[in-house]
Amino acid sequence: MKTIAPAAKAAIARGEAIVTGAVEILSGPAIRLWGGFGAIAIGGESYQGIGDRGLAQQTSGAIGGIAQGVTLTLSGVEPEALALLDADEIKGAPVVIRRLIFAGDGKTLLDAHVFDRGRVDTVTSEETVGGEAAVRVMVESAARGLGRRGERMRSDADQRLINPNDGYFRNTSFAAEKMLYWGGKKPHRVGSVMGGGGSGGFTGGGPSSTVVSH
Amino acid sequence: MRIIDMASSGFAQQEFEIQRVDHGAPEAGGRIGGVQAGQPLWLAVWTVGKIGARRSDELRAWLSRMRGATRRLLGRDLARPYPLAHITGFARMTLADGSPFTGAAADWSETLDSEGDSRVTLEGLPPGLILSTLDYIGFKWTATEPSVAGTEWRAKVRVVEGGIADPAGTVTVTCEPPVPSCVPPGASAHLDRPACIMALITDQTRLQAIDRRLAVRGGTVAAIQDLRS
Repeated sequence: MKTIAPAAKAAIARGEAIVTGAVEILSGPAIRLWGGFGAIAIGGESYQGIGDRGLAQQTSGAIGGIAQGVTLTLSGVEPEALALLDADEIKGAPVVIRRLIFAGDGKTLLDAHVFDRGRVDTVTSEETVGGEAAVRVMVESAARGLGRRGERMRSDADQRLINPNDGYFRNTSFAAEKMLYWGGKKPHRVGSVMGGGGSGGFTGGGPSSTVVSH
Repeated sequence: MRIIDMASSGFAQQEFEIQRVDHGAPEAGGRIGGVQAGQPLWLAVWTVGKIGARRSDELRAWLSRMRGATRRLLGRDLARPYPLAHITGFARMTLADGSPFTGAAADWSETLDSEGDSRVTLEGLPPGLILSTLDYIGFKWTATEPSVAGTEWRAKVRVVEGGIADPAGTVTVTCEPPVPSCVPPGASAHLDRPACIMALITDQTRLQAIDRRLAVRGGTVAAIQDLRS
């Protein structure tokens, strides 16, 4: 739930609001950019304007669907944005994306709420001769990260990669995939949640409990 | 950054308007919802008409100097180099203290009224100076943004409700768009040849082929304002 200041909500209701975004990337050094012109202070930090109308605007999502990452397109390849490519520790750097709501005069900042938080996934630069030049930053929110699958498996072979002498799973056939619904749309049957099919019960995967094989 | 003055002549038509990008939600009725994306900017499109060979040469040379989108130009509304009532310039106009008027106001300030309109007050003008609708107020300052630090930067606003300077030389007019927030309070406000710094929109800028008169047969120069602090 995002809390938007009442004045900003009123401006949106009147159809007068001017919106843009602000991005804080806590790499080393921290990079703070916003979509307007000149420097503004948000939360005590100074944000550099890069004059990019669409900054941090493009997102999509569906109820019950997979959480989408946010792609920031820093167009025009401003020197401030280019510094991003040279920054140390950009990979996985925390990102805070704010949505700025201005009054119709374009000067009175009514609200600067946090729209999304995440971590930098990939940073790419794109250059088209005679066309667009942009730095694209993919930001993964925590919810998006949950959708990732690891490559570890609950199997004897995998366990022995950790410790060759660990035979804890030697009597276990492996469970290749297990679906866990976390905040998403509820499935129709409990059995499909637990991945148990007809067998029922919790499939903890340990030798003593019910084991599901695929 | 190299900032080049506009080509002095050769343009037959001009669009010089404020560009506002709306995320509109159009309805069949008049109750259109939506928000606007980012701050307004000046957008200009100059169309080249039928010109002579020498003028064509100058225009082509000017466009070559612009180096595509890498250099900036001083974008001007060609219709208003000076306020309409004083369109030939400020010769022989004097301030309240008798000193000649150079075009620059002694001081300026802006207030946003309850409706969000921008009311700009200029001080130190010649008494009786008239600012008409569609005149411009220019701003000059020294840029501080790292990439362009030290360059003289400019912006301009359009007068949408005019006024006449009082005997003290002060006038308040309504302007659009509001003075951008990156214009520092110490900027100088002026009325002589107001300009804003613009970059060419290269994919819309094109001069057509020259014909047997050795002059371009037409063309378009499009530019968008580049605003820095």
